Amino acid sequence: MSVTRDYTLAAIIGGGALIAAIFWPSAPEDAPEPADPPEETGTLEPDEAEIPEPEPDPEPEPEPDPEPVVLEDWLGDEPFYTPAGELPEGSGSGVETATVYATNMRFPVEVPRAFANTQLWRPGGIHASPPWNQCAEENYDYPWFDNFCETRGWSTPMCPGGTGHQGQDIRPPRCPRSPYGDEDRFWAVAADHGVISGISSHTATLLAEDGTSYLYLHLDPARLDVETGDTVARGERIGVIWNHYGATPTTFHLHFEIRQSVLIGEQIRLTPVPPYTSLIESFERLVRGEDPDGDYPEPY
Amino acid sequence: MPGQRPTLLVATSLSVSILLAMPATALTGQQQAPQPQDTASQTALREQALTRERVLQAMEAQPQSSSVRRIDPGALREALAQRAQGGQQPQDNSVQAQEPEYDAQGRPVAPIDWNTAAVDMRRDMAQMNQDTPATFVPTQPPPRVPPFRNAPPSELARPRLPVLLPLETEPTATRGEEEGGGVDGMMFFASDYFYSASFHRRGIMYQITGSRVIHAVENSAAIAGQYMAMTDAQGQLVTRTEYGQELSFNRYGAAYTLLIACSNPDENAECRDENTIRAFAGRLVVAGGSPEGLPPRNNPRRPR
Repeated sequence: MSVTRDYTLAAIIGGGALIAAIFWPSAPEDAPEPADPPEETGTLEPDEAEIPEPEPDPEPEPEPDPEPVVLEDWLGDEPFYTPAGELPEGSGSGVETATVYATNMRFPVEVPRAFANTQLWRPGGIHASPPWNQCAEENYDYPWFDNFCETRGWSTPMCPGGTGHQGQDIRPPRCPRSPYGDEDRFWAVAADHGVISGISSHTATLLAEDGTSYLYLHLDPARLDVETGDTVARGERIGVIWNHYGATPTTFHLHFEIRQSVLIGEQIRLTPVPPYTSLIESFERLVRGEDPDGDYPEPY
Repeated sequence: MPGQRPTLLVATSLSVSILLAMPATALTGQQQAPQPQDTASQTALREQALTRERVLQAMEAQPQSSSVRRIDPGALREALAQRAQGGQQPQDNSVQAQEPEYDAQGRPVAPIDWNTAAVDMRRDMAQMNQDTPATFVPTQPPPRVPPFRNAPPSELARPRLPVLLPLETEPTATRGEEEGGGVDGMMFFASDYFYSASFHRRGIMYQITGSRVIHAVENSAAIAGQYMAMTDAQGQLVTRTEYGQELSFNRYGAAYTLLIACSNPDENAECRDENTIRAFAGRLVVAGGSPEGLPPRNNPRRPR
């Protein structure tokens, strides 16, 4: 009797389950998928708060490499420079310095094209081999070369050897005997606001408002645009870059010096300082069009 | 043709008269020109002397100090580095205590020994003003600091450092021959912490510049040692240059440099002779400078 009752009860429960399985409403097909259960780490202690894993940062988009800016000088050539203090072999020992002594100088040549290099160890110079052609292509080409402290017999205590050239020689944009009629077109300009404190033949001294002195040599005495006592603005024309050196002409170039008062030991001394780094910085500023006094004529 | 002859004669004689008169007129102009210049010269010299008296009083009013403050290179490097990074003078009190003075642009300036400068100036002025014996017949003009032609004599008081200028007996010109020769005297350019002056004689430009601004610090002990080793017993360093000679020294705490420049030193014996620039240095006297300087001036640039 009890066995029969058990079978009957089991049949009723099983039948009910079958009916429920057949008629229970099913979930719609477009219902969202249930969220994934949190991943089990197997190490979570029962009393630890459950901290959701932080969303991983999206992979940053790789920055495109900036287009390399190719600087172009006045005539479209790309300027480049050898390091300060690296003089051509055999021409002396330079000053390897990163110091920019004249930090906000206007490049002393009006247009953004000029060639800093030695006058003596290049074609046309007394230490070069013939033919002595100062207009040789290599003289009017990059890279620049430092020639502060280039070998001279003159005492220059700021030079490693105690003697040497006290400025930087800079050739004009083109050799003035080119077929372009350049003879009177390449101007040296004021490196800073100041006053023309003296002129002697081809030499002009500019005393800047910060006390720095700039010397310009080998200008054409007949084509100076200033007089002693003139107050000049940064970038203003001073004179035509020439080859004057008394009765004995030199090569066409500007000899440029910077004098500042420098603490040497326990005393300040007015002395020529290395100009090469200041020239590179000011030239780059001019080429990039970032010099506020960087007006110059168009190429021709 | 015969009718034209009198006309031709008149024209010719007129032309000759004009040609003869031209040099005479020019000569008259040249002879008359020095007249006002001499008067201006005397006035300028008198005013310069008065200014010297005033600046000497100002120098002597400075408190006596037993020694001049020493420059601290480390503090200077810090000050210059801060300035290069866009700051002005350092706010660090310890640095300020060592280097309290800066120019208007925030550059450090070297301390000055005004007491010694005042003693030297009084001695120099006594030399300039010494009585001349009644029987003395001058064979050349007395030494004088050439009159300024571009600045009022009062500008002698502007630089806040002792102004060294030469006592000259020979004539000086404000400009070189290439610039037309200028006039008798010298050019003087005064600023608050530096100055410069220049004149010409026999194809040579003489220039002196003084400064107490500190632009940079030489970090190489070897270069510093070499520099000092090359100075002579008077602390002077003489160098030949591409344009002539240079002589530099430090006095009263300020830096001074003398230049002589000519067209080509190889062609001018006086220009390349070291004695020329040493003699120039030997003629220097304390002619101005004052601890407090002068009020700012309006100094417009010429139109471009």
